[in-house]
Amino acid sequence: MEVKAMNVRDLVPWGRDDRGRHPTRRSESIGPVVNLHHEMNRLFDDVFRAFDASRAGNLAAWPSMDVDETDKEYRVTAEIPGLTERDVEVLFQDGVLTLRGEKKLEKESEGRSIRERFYGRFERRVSLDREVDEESIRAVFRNGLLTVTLPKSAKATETAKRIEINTGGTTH
Amino acid sequence: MTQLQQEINRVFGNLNDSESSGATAEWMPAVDIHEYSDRFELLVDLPGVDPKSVDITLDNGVLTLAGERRDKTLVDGNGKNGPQQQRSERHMGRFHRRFILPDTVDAEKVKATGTDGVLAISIAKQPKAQPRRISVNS
Repeated sequence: MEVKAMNVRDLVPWGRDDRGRHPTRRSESIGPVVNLHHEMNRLFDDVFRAFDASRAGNLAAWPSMDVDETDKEYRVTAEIPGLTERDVEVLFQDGVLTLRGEKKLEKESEGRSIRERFYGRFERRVSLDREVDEESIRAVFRNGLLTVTLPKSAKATETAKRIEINTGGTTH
Repeated sequence: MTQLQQEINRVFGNLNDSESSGATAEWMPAVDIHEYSDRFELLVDLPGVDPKSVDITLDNGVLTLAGERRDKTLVDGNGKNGPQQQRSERHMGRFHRRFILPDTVDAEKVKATGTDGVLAISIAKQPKAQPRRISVNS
């Protein structure tokens, strides 16, 4: 059987991760402090990415995650295939959710092998803009997906108070 | 890099997916490939994908994995009070990946199991391709 010549892009995992390399953050308008926090998270992610380059280059931070926000809660979904709830630590402190753990090699191969999947220690943080009811945080692990639901506190869900604007008086 | 490329060339050919249904795929899962004396084993990261929904076909020495990951947040409703995405790194939609198998595999002996978001595919080698111990007579 003839094996076709390959494109280098097919081989390296970063081809697969083109779309994930610059995750969208639609929270630019929420204030400089939070932005700085996001920026720092990104920086830390980048540092770990640099370390990861030795592993045949998975440039995206691991695990990949989505953060969704509704009026009532935040939902963080992380892709952690091959691990279970026993392997992952979920922490919440000062408005920051931390996921961390280690993915160990499943087994040694007897012959040749190729690895694209992530192995090693990981830690990712998500800072949440609004106050969360810490007692009600729930985490569920199913089919390689860790979902953490963080309900907003009563104070945080209060609708914004409308402030009446008075006219400045007549100047004429 | 060249070494890795040669290695993959030797073990498993990875088809260029610019043609056929690969063109409609939105992402590719990460895959580990291990060779054992009697089989090849592929480990495919597919978190959030029902392993039963994955289409695995072996045709003419080409192994194809295809399927879809649906965005739950969109299913939940994207109306006025729907969730607002703060961060979106996960790949959604159709995935597709193909491998050219070495001609030493036994196409009749393919097994697949899904656990914790990882799909494990085991493909047996033909008996004649397995190493045989030859005893030396004195």
